[in-house]
Amino acid sequence: MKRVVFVLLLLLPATCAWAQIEECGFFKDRIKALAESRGAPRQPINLDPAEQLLSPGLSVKCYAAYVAGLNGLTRLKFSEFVKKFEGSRSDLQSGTSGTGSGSTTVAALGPAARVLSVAAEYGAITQAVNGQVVTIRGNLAGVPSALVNHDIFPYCIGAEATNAFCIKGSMLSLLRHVSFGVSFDMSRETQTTASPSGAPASGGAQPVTFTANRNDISAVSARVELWNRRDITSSAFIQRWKEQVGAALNAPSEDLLKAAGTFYDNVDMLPGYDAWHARHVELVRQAAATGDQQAIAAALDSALRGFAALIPANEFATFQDNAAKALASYSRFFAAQDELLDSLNTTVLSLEYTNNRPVAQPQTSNFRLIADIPLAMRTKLVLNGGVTLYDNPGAIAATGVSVARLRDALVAAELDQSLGESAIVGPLVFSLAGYFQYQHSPAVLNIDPLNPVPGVAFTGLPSGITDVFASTGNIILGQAKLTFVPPGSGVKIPASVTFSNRTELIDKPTWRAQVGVTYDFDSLFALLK
Amino acid sequence: MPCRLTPVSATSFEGPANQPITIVTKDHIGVVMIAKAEYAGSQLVPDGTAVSELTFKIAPDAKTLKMVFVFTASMSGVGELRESAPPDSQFLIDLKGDDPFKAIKIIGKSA
Repeated sequence: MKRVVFVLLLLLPATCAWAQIEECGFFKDRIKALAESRGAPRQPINLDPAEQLLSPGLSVKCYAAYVAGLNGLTRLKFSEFVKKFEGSRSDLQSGTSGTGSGSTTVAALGPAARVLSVAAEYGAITQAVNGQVVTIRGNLAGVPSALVNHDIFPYCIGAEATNAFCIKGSMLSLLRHVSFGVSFDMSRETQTTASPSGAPASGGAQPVTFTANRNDISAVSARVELWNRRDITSSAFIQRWKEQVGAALNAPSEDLLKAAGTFYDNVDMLPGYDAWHARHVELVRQAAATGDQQAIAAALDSALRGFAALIPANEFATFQDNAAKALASYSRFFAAQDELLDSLNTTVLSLEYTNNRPVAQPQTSNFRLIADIPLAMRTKLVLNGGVTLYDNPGAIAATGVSVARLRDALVAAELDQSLGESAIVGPLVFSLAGYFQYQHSPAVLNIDPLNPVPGVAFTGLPSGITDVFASTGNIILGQAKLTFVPPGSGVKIPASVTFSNRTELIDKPTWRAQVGVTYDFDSLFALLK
Repeated sequence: MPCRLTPVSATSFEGPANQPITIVTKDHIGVVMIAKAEYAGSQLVPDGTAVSELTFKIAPDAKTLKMVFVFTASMSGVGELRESAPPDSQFLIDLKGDDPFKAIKIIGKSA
């Protein structure tokens, strides 16, 4: 019975070998070269396309794909496609990009986390009240990446995968340009008590009502990279790549060396391999004499079936398993290589939309252009320009405060200097930033006695007032920031000191300190499979 | 100094045992470097690095040189692996970004 099954397995290549030949770039290139040369031997022998075609050492990938497909094996070990995401990068925007409560940064950075990041920040930049905000940022590429990582779809491997239902690197690269964020204002997680109306003013136990405020979302945002320039021929890019490629691809390269090497050793030790090679090189050469690519492909098809027949029946399963492992290691390698190329610093221009829902203030929409410009190996410049609009100025006007839709306009610049050894990725980054905000309409505060604005106390305010507004005035501030990035941890700790001529509410110069901690789940996800 | 390797097949090369040879990558599309190289039981590229040139001694008998290449142009990258013996140089194998693993045999012949 075993023998019957094995014979049937050997018959299957008649149908799948064509597909493998068609889809394998290595095979196609040699077939074309053979047709052009009509099979004439080339010297030296290592330039001969017939010799090359039947040398598995030159394309373990194509031979492994052929062996793996012998019994329709399609479910490769894609669970091993885990990619190494850039957990140690400090140039990703993880926290809130606004400058209000719970922000530690003046200028929003260009790139976002590859999958998901969480940032907890305490402080304030342009607002008068410190706050604690937790921001979750994600990337649209995270979902398909997870599908790949969980065996649902494979990662496409170049031209060979054109017929497969797989996730293409180009699609992931495109999706990586779109990110989203949600900020939660943890200071709103408060409970307030109120005496019911009609309760006695004093004396004895009184019933109270507990009001839990669960409306914690302080901002939602979406960002799209409009322009991402990577010139692979520029000396600066090549220099960065050379500096990082060894470390970034160390594990995937080692994995590929081991897995593809094991499959190659299997092939190299096949009994009758040398005779198979010599016989089929001649047959391929004869087919090539016609100049017909179909005839050469048929000869290769025959050679591959002969190659499969060399595999001893009792080693067939091991052979296929090693082929599958080799293919999976190719996928991991290509994914990591593309990941590195995508992660190298480039000039990035992004547009971000943020819907702000600050506590006790009207909702606003902020549109911000972000330019992320590497200046040198360890230095980059970030420029921001944007406007903030009141979502519903009419509703504000109904309360007696007249405001225009344009609330403010801002420009900001930040210079980042890595103090570590590996470019802008850290492990320590010193930043200097400047920020200018033109306050066109005043900041408005909603007054609710049951839910007072944390940290704000009004004195002498007439009763019955529900809205107050601050005097307008341009805000100018400067910031010094140090971001500590423990290597390999996925954690970043920014701490900054900011001086401003005023805040949105208080017309007096202030010094403030901000601190945060962010965790990049990218590196954690890489360990899940 | 003349090159020491003589091709005997598309992936096999003969050379004098115990003599050093230098192999180098040559770029055609993008930059190509050697991330891993294993030969006669030794790792020729230090961990965490990538190199464009390797020098090692030819081991006696037939030993496989397994290599993994990295490309700035990812799967579109093209280059070649050459033996370098200035001013001489010779082609060994093609390198393509969509086939980053290569295995060749080096047969060390005793004098």
